[in-house]
Amino acid sequence: MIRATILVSGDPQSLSRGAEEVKLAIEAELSFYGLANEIEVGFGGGVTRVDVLPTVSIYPEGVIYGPVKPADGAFIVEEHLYKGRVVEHLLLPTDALVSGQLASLPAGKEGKQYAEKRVLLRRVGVVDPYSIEDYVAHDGYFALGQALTTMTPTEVMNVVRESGLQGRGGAGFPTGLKWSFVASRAEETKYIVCNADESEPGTFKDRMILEGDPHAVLEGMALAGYAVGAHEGWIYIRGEYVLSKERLEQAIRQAEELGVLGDDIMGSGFSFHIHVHAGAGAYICGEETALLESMEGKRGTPRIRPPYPTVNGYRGLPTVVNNVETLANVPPIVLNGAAWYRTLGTKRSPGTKLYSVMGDVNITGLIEVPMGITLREVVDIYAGGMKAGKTFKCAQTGGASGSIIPAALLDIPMDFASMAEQGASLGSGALLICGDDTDIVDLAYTLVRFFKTESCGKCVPCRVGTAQMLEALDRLRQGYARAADLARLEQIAGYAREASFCGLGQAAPVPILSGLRFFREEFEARLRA
Amino acid sequence: MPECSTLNEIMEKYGGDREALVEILRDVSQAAGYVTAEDMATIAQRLGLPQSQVHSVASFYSLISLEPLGKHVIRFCQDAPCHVAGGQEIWETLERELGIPFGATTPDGTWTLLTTSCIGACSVGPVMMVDDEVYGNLTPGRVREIIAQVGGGV
Amino acid sequence: MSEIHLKINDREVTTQSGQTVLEAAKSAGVEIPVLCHHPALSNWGACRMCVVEVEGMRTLQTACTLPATEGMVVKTHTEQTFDIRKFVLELLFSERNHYCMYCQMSGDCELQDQAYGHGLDHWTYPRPYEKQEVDATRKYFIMDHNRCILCSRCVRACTEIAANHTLGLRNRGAQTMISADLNVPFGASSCVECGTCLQVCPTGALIDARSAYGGREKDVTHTQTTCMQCSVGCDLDVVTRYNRLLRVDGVWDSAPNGGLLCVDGRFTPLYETRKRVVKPLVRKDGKLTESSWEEALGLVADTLKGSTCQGLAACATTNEALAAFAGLMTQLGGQAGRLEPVAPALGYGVPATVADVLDADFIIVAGAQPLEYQRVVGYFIHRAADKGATVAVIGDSENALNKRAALSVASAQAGVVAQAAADAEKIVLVYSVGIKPEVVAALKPLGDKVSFLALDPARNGKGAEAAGLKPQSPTKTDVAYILLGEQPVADALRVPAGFKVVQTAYHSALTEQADVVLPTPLWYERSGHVTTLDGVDKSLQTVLPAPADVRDESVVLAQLTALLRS
Repeated sequence: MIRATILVSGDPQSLSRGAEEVKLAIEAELSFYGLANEIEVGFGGGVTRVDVLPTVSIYPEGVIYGPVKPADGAFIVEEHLYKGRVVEHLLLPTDALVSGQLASLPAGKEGKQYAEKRVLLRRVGVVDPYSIEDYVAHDGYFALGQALTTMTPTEVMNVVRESGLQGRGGAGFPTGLKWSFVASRAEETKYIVCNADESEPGTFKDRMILEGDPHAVLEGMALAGYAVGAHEGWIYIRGEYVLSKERLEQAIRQAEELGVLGDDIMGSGFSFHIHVHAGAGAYICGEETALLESMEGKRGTPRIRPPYPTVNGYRGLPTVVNNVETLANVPPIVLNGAAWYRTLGTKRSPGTKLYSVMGDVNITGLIEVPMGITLREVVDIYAGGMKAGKTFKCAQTGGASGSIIPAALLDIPMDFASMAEQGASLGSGALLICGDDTDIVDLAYTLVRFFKTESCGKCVPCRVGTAQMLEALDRLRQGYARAADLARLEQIAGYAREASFCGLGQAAPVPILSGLRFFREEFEARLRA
Repeated sequence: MPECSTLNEIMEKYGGDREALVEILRDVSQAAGYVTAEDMATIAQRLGLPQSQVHSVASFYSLISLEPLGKHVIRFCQDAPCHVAGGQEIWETLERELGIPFGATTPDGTWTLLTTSCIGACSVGPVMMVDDEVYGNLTPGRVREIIAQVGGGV
Repeated sequence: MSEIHLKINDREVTTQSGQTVLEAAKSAGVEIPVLCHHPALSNWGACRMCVVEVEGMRTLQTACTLPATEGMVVKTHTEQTFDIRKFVLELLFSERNHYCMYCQMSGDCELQDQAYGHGLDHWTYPRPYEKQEVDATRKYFIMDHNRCILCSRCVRACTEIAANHTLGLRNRGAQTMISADLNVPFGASSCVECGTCLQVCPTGALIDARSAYGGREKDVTHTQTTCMQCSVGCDLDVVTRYNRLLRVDGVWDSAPNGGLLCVDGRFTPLYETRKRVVKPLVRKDGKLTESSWEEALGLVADTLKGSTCQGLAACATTNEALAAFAGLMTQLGGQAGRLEPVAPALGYGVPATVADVLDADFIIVAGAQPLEYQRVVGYFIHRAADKGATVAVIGDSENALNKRAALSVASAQAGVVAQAAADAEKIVLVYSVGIKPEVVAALKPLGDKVSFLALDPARNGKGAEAAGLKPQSPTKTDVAYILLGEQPVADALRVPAGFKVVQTAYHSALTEQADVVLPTPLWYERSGHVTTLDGVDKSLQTVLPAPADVRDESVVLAQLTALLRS
């Protein structure tokens, strides 16, 4: 008889902060007290703020502790499980995790309460990712049930369209519109593909959803399938995401057993199956057509467009390719309606956005906030300000393919349209906050090196252009470059942006172009006299 | 041969599906450390694919190795977040401590030093994976400790 | 298909739906520069040379991949497109060693042409390239990776046209290389040396071992003729200079081969090592001795008069010669036949063309080895298999097609194939002399659903058929007249006739037995016609003149006929 379950957060951040040792300590202590047979211990999802990791969650009470050190783990066993007393001083700070509610943060500007708005993360760290019952107990599969019993596919599509949901993979394409392209196709077989090839450096938002709330993605996919008339879905997951894959596969099995996936879901006559396809290490496979090639067992090189995947996708058939975060938005939209969704975020970009915050700030980790908050708010409030002794110099947004943003743009609302107007990109939602000692040339070099490594080699501007750019940046870094070299670097970057085949090659020069735009003097200072 | 049975098992798991080529190659590489030419020939033959396609795919993906790796594989994240967090110093420490450049294996076959793209542990950068373990908040001292601990000294 | 109207460089252009902007522009006389694009291959869009500006589109578009649509407004030559093209060229020249003056393609190189066209007279980008290897392990052509621009034309040619799948791309990014099989030297690979990759290479990366440095395009002569190496009848573009054969290319828009050749069409005849017969020879004192045509033909005519005679033709010559040969033998009251066997008639089905193989969904290969003897047909079968056709091989010996066959059975089990094919839409039966009667019978239930392609083992078997020549074995007659042409003969072939006349291009075991040897021209030295597998009469063009004392068979046979009448 198992009377309780202990989940130690097992995401990489937690592991690197000693989660394994905590788990070992707990297990040892359970044996010591003779509790090993009645209490099981496993790894679960992490919460999103790194400073509170690793966490230890105890079910069925749902008490969460964090951050927990190995000694604390032993103490928790003794106090909570053996003596039955909650260890107050180890409890997770309330602002780190409040399910479905506004979490009040300590620092308010002008008396205003700043808060995370948890729509996508409301279950992450709260539910046991290995338990479908837990998911269902937290409104899980309600949206699917509602859609299948009371809505037509067109109605589902219209809700998503009216919600104004935009693709969260980086480009911000209207999701409902993409679905309608596929829905209008006459082919009998269509596919829903979930792009879980999260590879933008500094981005770990999808991973948090996949590992903390895998059923949300499955439910979103099933809803998409219902809306467009697809009966098969595929999740293309990064090869490196071993734990995410394991949890997804487990979740799929459970959902099929429960009858919320598979044939004739909930007796509605609608069938939907989901498979997982893991990649093998190639950033380019995040590009949707390269992803499709890879799914078909080929090299991950992008396809010629048009035709787009909505017409000629997986196996040449109409295919919706949506990012994990996009799909996770779908169940709450269907459940609560488009009008509710539009109360979040901005008029042009409704909803919330996940950001992974890193760099020279006090609190790093994942946050979910309404679209349209400013970078300044992220830095000052959510990230707890810059680290002691550092001032903000720039932020690198959107992973490698984003742009370098200077202090002058700190007050731009972060949504797809406003960022685009500034020539910047929201991208994947990674925010690398750099302090004043950051070397911009070096930063650009690192970013371009990444692109050179990850270029698929198909088109000339990317294959040779990244090599040329890296060479020039290296000369600059080493102090060998002359003014003509810098001029040529800028020229190559400009042309490569115009001429490359796909988004990777078009993004590769952006660190140089945006670096030059805002920090030209730093490049010039490196020139040889 | 144990590799052979592993290959068979993996091939069986995917049931002769040509679309699973990438997954088969990755699994073989992870199970046996790398994919041999014989493995690729077998995979090509069983899936009914040209050998050129199998090699072309195998050499494209970074998690598929076509050369034997060391007993322990270090995959160091070289992306911007880790770089900004002090990655360059760790990079240099690794090369110095192991006495090999990135991409190489130590002569005694103990260590292979590789780079990896982001493993999503950026907020504790610099980060590296040693075999399947993630190590974050690296400092030169910690790198030396890890090498000593995992490798039993170099 | 519907008409599409678009505007290219302010000109109204009408084209068909399904055409790309590149094709529409070409039809309007606007040349857009390309490097990775080749009209015979699928679109790739990778070099970015063909970028154009399209109104309403945010980014530059590649003309080679963009479908033309109604009302589209395209600008093909703007300052921006020029700059991008020059940029692409700069990058390519910086990537590997492109020192034109040492390259055999200098003057004919597409990369070099584009560079001149874009004013690229010196390098401005650093060139940190590494030295690449040169792979000379194949007999007929060499791969110099230093000159490669990774356009992948060769890979696509190998995949799409030859369907041999030897070539692929290795690694990724800046490390990308052209590679064979599991990264083996080309000479050790599955390459069949059809040379299609060589023909599509835009630079000097693939080098023909024979014609390299032998002459630039402006120095050479092109003559189109028909291949005589097997019965398929492919179109050839023969390249010559100074009365010397330099190279053979395929002709892209021709039937049946559409530019595809095989090693026998493209390379082996240029490496012929047999000893040529260049003068009439008459056996004197047991030794073949050079003679005049008058003497040789006089001797033949005298011997023929009043003798029993058998004429045997290797069907390796023109329709005209075969007809003249059959005519002469009939006139002499002798027998006339062909040396090679003939594939039997089936008694059911409808004839297929070689091109039908490509559209078939079920291909039965029975008693035939097309990959050995009619290779282009074999490659076509591979292409059909790539498109999803089921290939079934029936036969009692090893067949190179087995590798790609879904089904491979012995003759006795041919019924299995008939059953498997029963539901197919388009069945093509490719067969030859090896087909067993029980196979013919077993496939009969398929009836007229079968389109059949009978592969004649002789080079111009259809021509022989038209001349009424049927297979015969050498018999004991007074005189045997053997029309051999270029055909090699088995050493074991014994002709029991008392007096043997051999009309041939080369010395062989048969000339050793001969009493009179009459020289014939080679395939590129003659005119006339041959009949292809598809039953089309194709002409042969005299590419180079024959040696002075070599006469065409039909001329000689006419002279002989005249002598016999006198």
